[in-house]
Amino acid sequence: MYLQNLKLLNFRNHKKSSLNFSLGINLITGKNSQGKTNLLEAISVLLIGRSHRTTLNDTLITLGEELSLVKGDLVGGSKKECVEAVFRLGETKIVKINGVRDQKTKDLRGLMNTILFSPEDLRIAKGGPDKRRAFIDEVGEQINYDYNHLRWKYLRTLKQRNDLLKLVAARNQKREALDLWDEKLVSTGSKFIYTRRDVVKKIRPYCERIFSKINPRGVFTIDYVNDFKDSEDVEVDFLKKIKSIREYEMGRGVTLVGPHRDDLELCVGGKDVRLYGSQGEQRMVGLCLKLGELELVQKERKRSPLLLMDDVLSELDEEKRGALLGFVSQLEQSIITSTSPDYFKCVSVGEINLIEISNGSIKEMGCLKA
Amino acid sequence: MYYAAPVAILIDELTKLPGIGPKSAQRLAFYLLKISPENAKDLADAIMNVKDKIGFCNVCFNITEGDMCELCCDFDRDDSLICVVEEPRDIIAIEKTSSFKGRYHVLGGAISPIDGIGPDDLKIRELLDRLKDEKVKEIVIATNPNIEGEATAMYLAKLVKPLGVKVTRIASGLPVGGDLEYADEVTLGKALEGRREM
Repeated sequence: MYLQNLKLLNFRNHKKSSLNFSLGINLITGKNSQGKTNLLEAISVLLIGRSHRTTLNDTLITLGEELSLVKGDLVGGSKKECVEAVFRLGETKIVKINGVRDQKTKDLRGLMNTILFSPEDLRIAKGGPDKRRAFIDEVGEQINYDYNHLRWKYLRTLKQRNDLLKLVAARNQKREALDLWDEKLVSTGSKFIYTRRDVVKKIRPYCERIFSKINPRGVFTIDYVNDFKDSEDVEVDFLKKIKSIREYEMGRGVTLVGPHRDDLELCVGGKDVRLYGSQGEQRMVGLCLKLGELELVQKERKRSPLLLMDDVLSELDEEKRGALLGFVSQLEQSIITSTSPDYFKCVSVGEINLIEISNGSIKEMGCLKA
Repeated sequence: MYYAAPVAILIDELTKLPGIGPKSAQRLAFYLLKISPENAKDLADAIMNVKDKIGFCNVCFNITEGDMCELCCDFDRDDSLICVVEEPRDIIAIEKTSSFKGRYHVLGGAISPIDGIGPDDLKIRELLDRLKDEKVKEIVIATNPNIEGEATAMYLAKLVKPLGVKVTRIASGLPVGGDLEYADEVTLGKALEGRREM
């Protein structure tokens, strides 16, 4: 399936916009702060179900307006699905598929996989472990339908246990009350660890191979970092560990072991890039993780995902840009923003659908041969 | 202030009700302003009446007008079976099925540290007292299938099993009359886990 068109109403700086996309590469160009990223954000809100810039839906609505609408047609073979997201000030988002209300975004994922690639992703290796956990989660939810439920269940159990730790420390609850939540945390946590371990195991070869393709001299390795990553029986070891540090946890009032503290160890040439890598190496690792995600999702879901790429090209050198565009040109559809179409001049990627944007108004420029 | 003080107070009070937001509260308040004084008094009396007359059953903690609820007084019910639920309204849901003929026990909630509810805040000790009666052979745990309900079920099972009483948990899975393809993945997964031999 691919995204054929998009209509926006009162979405950030787009009062009323409508545009068509083609198969292959769609390039949105324009100066800074004209609404390029807003356009990608609208697609992401519609098809992924969340924005990469904010969690506050109200900020998506043009200031001074009360209602915002994003609508698009997904086309594949002879099938056509109309998807729509409606935002009203102070209310929760409504998603409609073919005019019928649907509250679950995972149903959209059933139609099509969409992956957003933004400059932030190039900094995965440099940032805190939460960024790398978010990456595992993003991959996980695309290849495993149960992933989000499992994650939500674990986080909820964790919150219950953390609150209880504080209550016990303040002597408002008995210590024995912890036994129950230890067990719940361990049972949901172990399942979650197994699932994440599996996600990392699946994506690892893709990322490592892409790295050695772009940089034949370097060796890149990904490792899942968790207290029980090599454990044969996570449940047993997890429970043992959590019992042994109970006193300490009660003092701190938070749970100190479990998948909420997971990380990814990203090494180039055997050295952790977070600590020893250059900026270039860190970006390269970010790029390989993202491309690995694309390849894995394509393989697992047996269809080409839609790639949304927000101003990534300007962050890369010519060699990496070439590798990235070579990859992008093989996808069924991609929508890319850039301040200039020049990046496409030096590589041959076939035809490009060019869209120019200036102060929220959109001009379709037609085909550009590259 | 848009409203005269008494109206504002009424809207405030209505907003505290579950499922009522500021807009619905405003609508209800203006409706109440229009109705006759008799009707308003009837409503106020009905609310006060409920507060005065309705209490909790001494045995199962269901809501009741007297000391014991109708269900606990009913001699035709099976004393060997007790269904444990979170709230009185869960009893109504199960009674509507008319496929349960045992007794009930209302816990008054589920274990949830976030809400400050621990085992001691629920009617668990009272349940254990009831189980001392030799007649009870089995308890059916019908707490909600969410994290808190499952935790409560696990807690109860641990306490009750050593007493030699059989502990069962209601199944979760597909709605009857539905199509497989419309079931969400989590529910369908649960239904597969809980499959049974035919």
